Amino acid sequence: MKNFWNKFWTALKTNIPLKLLALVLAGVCVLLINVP
Amino acid sequence: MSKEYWADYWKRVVDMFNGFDIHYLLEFIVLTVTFYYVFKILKDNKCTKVIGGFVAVILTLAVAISLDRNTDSYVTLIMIALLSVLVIMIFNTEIKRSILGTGNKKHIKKEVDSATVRDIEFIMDEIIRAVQHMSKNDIGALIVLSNENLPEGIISSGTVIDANINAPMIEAVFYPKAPLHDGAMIIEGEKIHAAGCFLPLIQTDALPQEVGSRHRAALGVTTVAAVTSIVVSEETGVISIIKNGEIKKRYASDSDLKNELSNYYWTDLTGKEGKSV
Repeated sequence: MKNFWNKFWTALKTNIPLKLLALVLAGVCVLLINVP
Repeated sequence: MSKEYWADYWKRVVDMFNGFDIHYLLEFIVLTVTFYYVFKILKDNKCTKVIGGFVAVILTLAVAISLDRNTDSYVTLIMIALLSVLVIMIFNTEIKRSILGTGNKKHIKKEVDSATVRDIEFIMDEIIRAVQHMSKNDIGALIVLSNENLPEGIISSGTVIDANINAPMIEAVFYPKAPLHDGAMIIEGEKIHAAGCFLPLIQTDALPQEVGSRHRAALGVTTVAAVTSIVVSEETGVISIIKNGEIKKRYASDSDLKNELSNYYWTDLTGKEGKSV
């Protein structure tokens, strides 16, 4: 279980700028699609 | 743009959140994951400029749609889908390699754990001894260090041996009159899994003339799968190490071979750093 969390955190900590960019763009797209 | 327009837009955004629906969240998750993996593929293939293009297209769409309420917002989804499919089509071999690259670590990890460090050192020394000997005698050889991650077609094109690794065995396979010499030997962990296997050749004009079909085969297999190839040239006896579709070391020495084999046995197969098992 500890190993799983270690792997999870390591995976989460890699490529942070890309993840943030993906989050922001996904947010923009959700707004574009759903705002009437 | 008038102040009233943006105030109205903001009001519509707030209204959207007031009438919150689970499908907004699902859309957000799916889009985030899609964007992240498309960007990762582009970044891994050194195409960071294309990420900028992607962002520019989305932002331009955002501006266009927010300026004109009549524009169908599903244009955004269609554009994202088209761009993602385009990236997947362009980088299909790289994606295939990264999917196959995972391999079966658990199975081999167990094998390596059960072996002593001395056993693995012995195997590495035997591979190096065989390669050096074949190089001195100008015997061509192609060894693929795999993690059970080669397409099944490659293994079935040869003969499964499942033999222990030792120098005389490797040299016997590549002896010019031996039936399995004209093909690749696949090593999986502590075993010679197969020999006489045919590999996909890389098709490119960018390679120098002296790069023969053995090197092309090694480049081809390392392009489609995350494996390492060791090639001994039949003409010159030069030993090369090939990885990720590139010649990593054109003239590999003993220490280069040792490093590469150490990476294979201690990092690729066990998923651990360093020499501890």
